[in-house]
Amino acid sequence: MAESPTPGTTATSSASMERSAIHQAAEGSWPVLPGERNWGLLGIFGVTISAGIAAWSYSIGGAVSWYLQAGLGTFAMIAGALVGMYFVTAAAMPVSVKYGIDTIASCKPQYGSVGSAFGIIAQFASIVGWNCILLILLGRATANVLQEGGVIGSGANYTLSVIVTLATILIVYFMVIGGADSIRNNSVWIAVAVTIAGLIVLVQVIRSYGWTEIAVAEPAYASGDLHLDYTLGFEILVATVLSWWPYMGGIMRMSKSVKQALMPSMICLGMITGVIGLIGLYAGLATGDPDPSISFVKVAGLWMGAIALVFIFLANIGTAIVGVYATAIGLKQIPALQYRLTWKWTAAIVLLPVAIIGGVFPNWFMDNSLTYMYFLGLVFAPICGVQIVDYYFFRHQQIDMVSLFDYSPKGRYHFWGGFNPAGFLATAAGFFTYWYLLDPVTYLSHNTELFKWVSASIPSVIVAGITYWVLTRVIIIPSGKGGYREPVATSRGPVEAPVAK
Amino acid sequence: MARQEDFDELDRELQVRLELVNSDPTYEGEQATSGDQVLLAIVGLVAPAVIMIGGWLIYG
Repeated sequence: MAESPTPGTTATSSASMERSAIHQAAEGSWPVLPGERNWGLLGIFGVTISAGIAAWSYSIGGAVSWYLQAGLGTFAMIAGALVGMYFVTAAAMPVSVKYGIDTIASCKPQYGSVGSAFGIIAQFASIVGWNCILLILLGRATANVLQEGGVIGSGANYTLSVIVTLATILIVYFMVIGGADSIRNNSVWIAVAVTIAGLIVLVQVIRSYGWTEIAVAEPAYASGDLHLDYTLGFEILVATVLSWWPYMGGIMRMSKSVKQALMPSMICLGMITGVIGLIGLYAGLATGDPDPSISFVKVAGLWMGAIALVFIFLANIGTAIVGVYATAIGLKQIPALQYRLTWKWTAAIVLLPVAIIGGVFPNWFMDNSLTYMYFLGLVFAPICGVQIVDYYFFRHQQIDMVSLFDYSPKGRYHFWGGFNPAGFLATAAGFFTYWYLLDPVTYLSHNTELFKWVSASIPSVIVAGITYWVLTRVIIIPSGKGGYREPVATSRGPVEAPVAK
Repeated sequence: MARQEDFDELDRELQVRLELVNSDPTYEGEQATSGDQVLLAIVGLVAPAVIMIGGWLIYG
């Protein structure tokens, strides 16, 4: 691919306007042209690793440790992480790489120019929620380690955890407001440091407890049906990794080719969630607590607790930064905010709810966070099914870019009032399929025998995809909606760029 | 420049950019080749199936 020049550098255009246009692309809703995608392979790896390694994996591994021993749990977690990431990658990555657009823009052809607000809400709620978990966990871990090491008393624990949470939110804010370049530069060193710290923590978990003790430890809530528990462990990872969907476009649109983005997506976001989750699995089985920080202080002293803290700090801050960046870009898809809201204010809006929850009622949020996240997670499976069917089977990997930013009834993605009913009905079908196979609140299945063999997320993706295919074929296309009958490329041929090469 | 004029200029820049991406493949990122799709399917579907079956055979 030749380096593409940037429009906006005509003699009549000012240099400031050019800079403004590039910022609108890199830190806004505009498509990023290949010539502006300056993260490079190293940057893409750095951002995906720093996002992919996060201490929420402790919670994920801890949940698996309720059902499976270490051996089967290890296999289920790695496999589940890869399958979940397959669906997210297939659905959201190629379109972002090809057109340089974020995840929210990429779902307009399926949900409609107005209906894509559904994606914005899902993205905002999901990433704000995950960021709350990450930053509250960091505050708590810091206070707990310092208390266990005798540095602070138990009375100061809550106050210190809140202070650390709020201070970290400020750090994240200042690292995000530098924009795309800042994200890339910070992520590379965070990725290196967090990988080393993560490996130290994983090895130390195995050394501290001993592999034999970990391997024979019994899961606390095993059903007695090993096949069922194996599928549950697998499903926990698939459903959780699907939560990468809202992050995908913001990161991958800075990649120049699908080939460049493939492994960072599958390995650095997907598989690494499973690998770091092993810390939570092993620690959960050995001690009942998936966060090994406190037990490290008991076993190896305060210094090891400090290393565990450094890991959590780097891991969570890297993920939080990328999350804020992706959500801020998503918010810029709201036309009223596109130009009027500065990047600093957009980042502040994303972080404000995190600060309120982290500062005012962190315990209430953490007590209810799993149910909240299970609901969000099951939304993303049907979205992936809908996107895959639409992008590959109906649109043949071609999106009309002008219509993507056209909110008028003339736009191809206006459908009816800006909403595509096929997208929403298919998503609902996938949602109920998931609920039938695995209730996200009770974690009980309405059809255990079927769930054991097919899990819940995979059928949800498939049912949503088939429903979308049928509705589009039977209703949407015959109605002449959605631009399915219109050619994508203009007949004018290549538009001459007003650019001095 | 007045603020509204600024917005109008940005809108014109956006339209130019959209037309370029729509009509000139050199303004697009490289899409997936069939080899990329096969690799993705191997890593994301075949390998996990092998891992799940292998885990069951060893520990099940």
